[in-house]
Amino acid sequence: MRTTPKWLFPVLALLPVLGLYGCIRVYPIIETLRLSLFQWNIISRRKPFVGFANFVELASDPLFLEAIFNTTIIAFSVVAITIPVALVLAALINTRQGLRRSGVYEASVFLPHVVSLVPAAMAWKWIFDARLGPLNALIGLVGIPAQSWLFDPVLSLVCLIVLCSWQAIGYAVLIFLVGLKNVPEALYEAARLDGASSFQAFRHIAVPLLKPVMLYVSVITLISSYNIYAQAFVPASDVQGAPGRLVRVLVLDMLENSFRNYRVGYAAAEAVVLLVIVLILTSAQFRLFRDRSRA
Amino acid sequence: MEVEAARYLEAGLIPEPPASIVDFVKANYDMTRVKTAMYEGKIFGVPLFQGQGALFYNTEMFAKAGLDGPPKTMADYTAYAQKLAQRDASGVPTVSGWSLRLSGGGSGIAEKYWTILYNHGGTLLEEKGGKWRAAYANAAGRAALKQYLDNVVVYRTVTPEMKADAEAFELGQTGMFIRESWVIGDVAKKAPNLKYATAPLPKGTLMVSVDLYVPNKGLKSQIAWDFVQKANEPENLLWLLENTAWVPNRKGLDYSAVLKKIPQLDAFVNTPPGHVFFTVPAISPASEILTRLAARLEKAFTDKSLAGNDAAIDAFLKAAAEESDKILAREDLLAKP
Repeated sequence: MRTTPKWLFPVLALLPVLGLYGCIRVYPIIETLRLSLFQWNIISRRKPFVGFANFVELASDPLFLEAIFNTTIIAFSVVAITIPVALVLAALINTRQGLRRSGVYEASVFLPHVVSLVPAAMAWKWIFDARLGPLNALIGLVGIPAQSWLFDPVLSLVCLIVLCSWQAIGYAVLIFLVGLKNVPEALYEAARLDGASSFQAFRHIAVPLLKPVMLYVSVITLISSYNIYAQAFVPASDVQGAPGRLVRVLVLDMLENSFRNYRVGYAAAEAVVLLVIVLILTSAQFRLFRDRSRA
Repeated sequence: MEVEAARYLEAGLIPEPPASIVDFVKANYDMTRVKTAMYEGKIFGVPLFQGQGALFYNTEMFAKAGLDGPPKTMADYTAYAQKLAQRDASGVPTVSGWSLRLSGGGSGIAEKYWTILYNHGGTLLEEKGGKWRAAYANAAGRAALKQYLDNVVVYRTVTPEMKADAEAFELGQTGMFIRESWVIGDVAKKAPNLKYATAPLPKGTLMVSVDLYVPNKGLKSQIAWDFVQKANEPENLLWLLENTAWVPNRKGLDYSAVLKKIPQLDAFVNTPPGHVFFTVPAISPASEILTRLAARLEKAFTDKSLAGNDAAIDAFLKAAAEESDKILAREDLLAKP
């Protein structure tokens, strides 16, 4: 009697999920890679092969270069802010575990992450408003003159970094909290017996043990920061033309090229460049964290 | 031809209309409007209404500033803006004299610049033998950009931080601005007590036509064409004008009854003789040219190093025009100089 091979059931069980994953994840990536070598306006039947011409053009496109520069500044700044702030917040919340209102701390920190991007960006647009915003009213109390937050080339970048960090911190705190809860209590007790302060125990026990979590958080934060769109678009775009200067970021530039300029192949080439950047940075992060943990 | 419709026609996605529709268009629209619905010499759609700019001005603010009528020349615009701007004790403008489109992203910034450029005697793109070329790196282009810089940087009659456009006008936060006729309907809803008037621009305005097409053939397409024709009946077009303030394209309409109710429409439907309507060419890279120029202009408008520096303005315009020409060349649409 023939028996069914053992591998058949898991393979069959996985097939629908793998099929779905292939359709909505793998196929679009392959199609984007393919499209980047063509010139196509989304509507036309003509789709001539242009080789690497789109990539060559990108290299001297001032808007694309500006978008790469802005996005990189924002992404690295968000990571630089999010990791330490989230770690400290997670540590503080962790010390309150089991006490009353500990859930409130977690929820209040996590809330910005679950708020929809557009209303959140609208709220920040109002906060940063040069004439009516509460931020200028606040700094006015200490004698600092009102700033054009959304118009100054540097300040508008700072605004985006603040907005993106505000959204990223909640998720990072949650992940760090999970990591902190998994640090064995015995290690802290041993440190206390050796006379270590709470800060020393955190610095020399929790932080090294959290390195894999830190790697995960930094990779996720960096990737999501390279993909920002609504945070840049909403504060600056208005049919009335005010009040914000558009900070050009990569995804925004891609959308503009795809759906306003009808240059889908060109936008696909931008997406490929973004993919390569993110892959390089992610592998660099893995290398960095792995090397340090070995040292 | 509308820029976006041209893409669909190029791809063969819009069939020709029945002969009766072609005859209807030929009989009821002037050639400027008919051209907006033509592709390769054939009529494919029916012009419905158009967006065109005119000046909106707050009559109470004008009277307060001692101004007894709208500006007549582009030089008047800046002079009027200086008189209309209101400032706080520290000199910071609180009410703009002339609300200019300075930000907001997209092609709108370039379209508004084009209107001002045209009224300085220039144009953005010029056609030569079916191909196109950037035509704004010259004295007219400089005068138009200089006018923005004078208002934003030199005289500060308007700043990017201020509320702008229809919103500012309805809130009494600007003395005047240039916009399409839809503002009339918007003001009626949001600021019904606002005292304002409209006036045509000195030389001409950008006109963007909204045309109707039917994307398929067959039984149902006839119903669609019937609807298109019905929508263009005089009584429906006058209803459209009265209720939305969008200006119909059809010629020979009697606007007198609507103008009695909404006198501000006069600047849109009774433009003076010689007033020119120009439009965005129906070429595929038109949006990209405008969007890229807009990205450059958005920075230039507040660039203090450009203010009063003709050589720097010329260099800016030369670089921008080269980019426009490069896009046209890529699409094999660049005319020889």
